[in-house]
Parts: sequence; structure tokens; C-alpha cells
Amino acid sequence: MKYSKTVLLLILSFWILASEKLLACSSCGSGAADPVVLNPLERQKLYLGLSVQSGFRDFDHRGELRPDYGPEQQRRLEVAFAQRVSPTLFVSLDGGLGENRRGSRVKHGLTDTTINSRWNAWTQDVTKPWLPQVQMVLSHRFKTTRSVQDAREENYLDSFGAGYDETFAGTDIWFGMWPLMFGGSLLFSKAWESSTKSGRLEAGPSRKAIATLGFMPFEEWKLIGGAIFDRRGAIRLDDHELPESDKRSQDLFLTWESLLKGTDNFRFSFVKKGAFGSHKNAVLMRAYTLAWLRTL
Amino acid sequence: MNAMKTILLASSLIFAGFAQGACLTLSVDELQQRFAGQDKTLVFFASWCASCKKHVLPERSDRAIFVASVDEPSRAEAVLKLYLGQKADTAICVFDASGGIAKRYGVHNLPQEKPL
Repeated sequence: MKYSKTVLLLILSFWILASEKLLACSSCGSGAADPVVLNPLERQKLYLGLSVQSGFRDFDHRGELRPDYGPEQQRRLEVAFAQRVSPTLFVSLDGGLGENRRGSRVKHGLTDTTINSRWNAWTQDVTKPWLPQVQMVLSHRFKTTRSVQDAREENYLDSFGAGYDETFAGTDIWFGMWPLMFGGSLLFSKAWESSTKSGRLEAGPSRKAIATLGFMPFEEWKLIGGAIFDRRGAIRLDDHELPESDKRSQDLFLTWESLLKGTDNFRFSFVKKGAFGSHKNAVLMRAYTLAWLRTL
Repeated sequence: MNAMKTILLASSLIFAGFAQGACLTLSVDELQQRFAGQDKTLVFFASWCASCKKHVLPERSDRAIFVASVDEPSRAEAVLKLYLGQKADTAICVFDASGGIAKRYGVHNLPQEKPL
């Protein structure tokens, strides 16, 4: 575990040192990854997002819908800060506060913290619109708060995190020079082993594919939407794989984002988790997020 | 000595003339000194900006200084050729390599226009 984190830090350091040359257009919007993206002219950006999640139900291992015994409504205040490190690389840090509600009972807590980096391997060019922007993504989420595995409150009301560290790596491809923009991301993750009251738990590796369409009806705003295909391997508890514990879900998202010329912009997102297709050990819910972004 | 100065001055004027159509690399101070007193509009653009097409127009090239922000000179020049056609040869283009000009004029997004 310690060795793997050292490797991760070395990879991050290499990226920072390796990306000495030129630009980036990070204005793609696959929506479901890190919340703050810098365009090449931006050096720093602050993000404040308020989301409400509700309508929770669970898909079991057969794909049948069951009542959810967790919170009926979750609210999240997400704070993120992005910093450009070089013309082609930026990093961001995000975390926040959560509120879980069920009936009249309410609990508050901190959410997990994530550090993200995006490196532009290839930047878009209007004279060559058939060549996409290619970004490499590397993120690490730290276990910073209580999860369902070690919840003390009934209905997991005091659970605000995943319960384990997880490292994400992948690529993001975006054809943004056409009237109808499109692209996709492929993100893989490795979850790190975590000690829980049930034993040593290790969530399976995940694979997230995101297909995105974008449209700019006006210069000042864009609309993007798409689908997220999420897969996760089986859970291991004390080195034994739990049968039928792998996960599968398909989600939909729609995002409206302003592109105003000043320093402030706004984003409104809608996500429907468990939206279509067959699911396994997944959650059905809807989330609305209103975010404010300030370029510093 | 005076003859040397005259030659240097003449050379710089000739090269400045040739430089029109190709992007000049200037700092913000150099930009303001060079075009001081002229009624020019800075049109910020880049090869990575799809919607800059509406602002980089041939009919505006007489009064515009096209500022290529955080871009490669060859890419910015290719964009001017694409949008301005023959006017690209006479248009004034400034290459803002570090984004310093954009920063001084408070430009965070493209496309954008600012008076000089």
C-alpha cells in the first residue's frame, strides 16, 4: 500500500516535470470526472457546487429493484481549486461537506478528498478539426471520512465517503472543433485495501466509460450530455472474494455551462444514476448540481 | 557610428514590414509602445478556439491587432490564413506566448476583444 502510493507520487512528479511545453485546451466536458477544468488561459479556478441527490433505490445482484435503507436525501457542498502547473498540465483538489437526511433525522460530515491532474497530450486545432484533443487523467481519492462499512448511525446517516483510497487513471478524447462536439473518456481505477470492522476490505477495480455529446447554441454557453458506463469487480474481504458482489450500472447526465467573458461562470448538471440497461449491485437515484466557478 | 545606427534602424524597419502577416512576439509593454496612439482593437484568438471564427474576419483586419494567446506561432498563422485569406499577409498578428498580454487585459476566455 505504502509502496503503491510512492509509485503514484513518482508518476505525478514525472508528469509535472515532463510537461514543459505548450498549451492546452481543456474545455472539453465529459462531465463525470474532476469538476474543475482549466482552459489554456486560466491559471487558477475556484469551484463551489451544491448538489441534491434523492430518489434512492437499490438494484440487487439480480438487477431487481429493492428499497434503499440509506439516506432518503443527500446534499453535498463541494469545494474545489484548480491550479495550472505548466501550459499543458493542471492539478485540482476537491472535497466538501455532506448532509444525509432520512425522515426528520439529519447528519452532517466531511466528504472524501480528491487530488486530480489533467495533462494535454494533444491540443485541438481549428485548421485540423479531425484531430481530437487528447488528455491524460490521473486522480487519487483519499479516505477522509466514515463510510457504510464503519457507519454507527442507523440507515448509514453518518456515512459520507467511500471507505477506501482509490487511484484513477485514464484518457479523455474530445472532438471540439465541429458544430456538434463529441468525445469520450475511459477511466480505470484501483481501490486500495482498507481495514473495516468486518475485516480487510478491498473493492474491485473499476472501469468507467463516458460518451459525451456537446453543442454550443450561443458563444456564451454550452450544453453537454452523455452516458456513463460503470463497471466494478468483486469485493474482497480478508482475501476472499465475495460472490455476486461485482457492480454494473449505466447513468445519464446533462450539463449546461455558461462561458461568460468575465471571471464568474455557472454550471447546472443533472445526473440520473441507473438510468438505462441492466444493473447489478447499483444505485438508482437522481442528482441536481448548481455550481459557481470563479477564474482567479 | 551614425552610419551604423542608420543601417540598424533601416534594417529594423524593413524587417518590421516583412513581419506583418507573421506573428510578432511582443511583451505587453512592447505591444503598447509599438502601437501607441493608434485606434486599434485587440482581437484575442487561438488555434484551439473554435468560436474565434466569428471575430477573426478579413473586413476587420485594418483596425485589428490579432493576438494569438497561449498558442504556437505556426498554428496561429495557419488560423489567420484560414480565416483571413489574402488579408492574412497584411494583418497585424502578435504572439502572446506566455499569456502575459491576455493577463494584462483580463482575458480568461476566448474569443474576446479589447481596445488597445
